Amino acid sequence: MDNSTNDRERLLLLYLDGELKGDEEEMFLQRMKDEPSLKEELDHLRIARESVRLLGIKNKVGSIHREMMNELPEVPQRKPVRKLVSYTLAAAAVLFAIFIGIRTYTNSSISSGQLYTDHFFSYELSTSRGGEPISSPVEQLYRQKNYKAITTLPLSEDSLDVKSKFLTGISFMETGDFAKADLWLKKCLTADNSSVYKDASEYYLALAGIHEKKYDEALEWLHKIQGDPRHLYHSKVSDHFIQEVERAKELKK
Amino acid sequence: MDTNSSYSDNELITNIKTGRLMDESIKMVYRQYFGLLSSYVINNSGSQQDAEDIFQEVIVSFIDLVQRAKFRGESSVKTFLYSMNRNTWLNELKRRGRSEFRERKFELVRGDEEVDVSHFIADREAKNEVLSVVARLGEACKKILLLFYYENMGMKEILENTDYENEQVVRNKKYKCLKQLEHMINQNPALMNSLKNIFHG
Repeated sequence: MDNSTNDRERLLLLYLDGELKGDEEEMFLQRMKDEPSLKEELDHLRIARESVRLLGIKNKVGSIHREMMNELPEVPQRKPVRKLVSYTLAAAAVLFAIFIGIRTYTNSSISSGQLYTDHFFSYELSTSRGGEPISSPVEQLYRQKNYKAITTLPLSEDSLDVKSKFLTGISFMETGDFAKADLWLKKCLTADNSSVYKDASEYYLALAGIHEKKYDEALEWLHKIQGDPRHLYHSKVSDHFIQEVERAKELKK
Repeated sequence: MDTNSSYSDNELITNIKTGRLMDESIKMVYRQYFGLLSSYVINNSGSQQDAEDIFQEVIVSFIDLVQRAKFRGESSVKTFLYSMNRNTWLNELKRRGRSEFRERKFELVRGDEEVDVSHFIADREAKNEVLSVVARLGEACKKILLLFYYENMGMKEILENTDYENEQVVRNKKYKCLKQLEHMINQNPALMNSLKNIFHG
C-alpha cells in the first residue's frame, strides 16, 4: 500500500467519523467532486457503518426482549377457527339463523356452563423463554398440566409467589372447583394488583363467576375489561358476550 | 429496580433520537404495545414465537427510522407500530407462501387506524439480509465496530474495553473491520444498491 492510498484511506475514515476539520475537510470535499470513485467509496463505508448501527439496535432490543418476556404475560390465543368452504358457510349461516329463531321463539335459557365453556381456554405458560429455570413446584406441575396435583399440594398463602397463586387459581378452575379458583385468583390480585397476571386473573374471575351464576360479580369484571382498551383480554369481551351474561342473569331471576 | 416509566409520544421519540433513557423507553414500548401487536399475529395464523420475532423486528425498525429522522410523528406511535406490525406479518406470511395469506381477509382490530408503511416494509428484506452479513463478521470486529459506531465510545474507552496495545492499533483495526464489512456487503451488488436507497435515499 503506497502513501497516496494510505492518505486516501485516512481521509475517508476521518471524514466518515466526522473528525476532518478546516482546510483538510474542504480539500477533501473538493477532491470528492473531482473523484467520483472517492464519493462512492465513502457511500459504501457509510452503509457499512449504518449496518453496524442496525446490529447495535437489534442487539439492544434482543436483550430487553428477553427481560420483558419474563415480565409480560403470554398473549392468549383465540380458539382456532375451522376453515370452511363457502357453501358450508352458507349452510352454517342458515342453520344459525334457524337456531337463533328457535331460541328467540322459545325464550330458552342460556346455561352458565355453556357460557363458561364458550369462553374458557386453558392458560398456557410460555415455552420459549430459553433456559429460564422453573422456580416453583406449582409451575413445574402446571407445565405438566398436572392440575389435580397442584390442588392437593399443602398450599400456604405466605409460601407462594404471585405467579404460583395465579396458577393455583387456574388449576382449581381446570379441576372444576370454582370457589377455590375464585379464592386463589383474588389472592393473586391482593398480593400484587399490578402484576403481569392481573389481567388474566380478572378475566378468569369473570368466568368463574359465570360458572357459579354470580352474574353481578362476573359482569363487574367484564365491564372493567371491556372499558380498558389496554387490558390484555379486552378483545375477548365483546358486547355480545356481555349481553349473553346479562340475559343469563335475567333468566335466573 | 426498574420503574415502569411512561412517556408521551414526543418524549419517547426524543429519548430514542438522543439515546437517553433508551432501555426504559424500549421497555415502555413493550409494556404498552406488545399485547396488542402480538395478539394480532397470534390471531392471524402466527405462533407465540412468530409474534415475538415480528414485534422485535418492528421495534428495531421503529428505532432505526426515528434515529434516521424518517419517522417524525405524523401518526401516533401506536398507530405506526400497529401498521408496521400488521404489514410485517403479512409480508412474512407472503414470504412463507402461506395459503392463509391468499385465502383469508385480515381484519384490523376494531377501532385501530393504519398508516401507509409499505415503503418501510419494502426495506425489510435488505435490512434482514445485511444483518445476517454483519453477523458473519468476526467477534473482535463486531465488538470494536459496535463500541465505536453504536455505543459511541472514543478510542481511549475502546482501548480500556479491549486488549489492544494502543489507540493507533484500535484505529487501524476498526478501519480494517469496516473495510472488511464493506467488502462483504459489496459482494452482493443488489444488496448494496438497496441499502443505498434505504440509508441515503
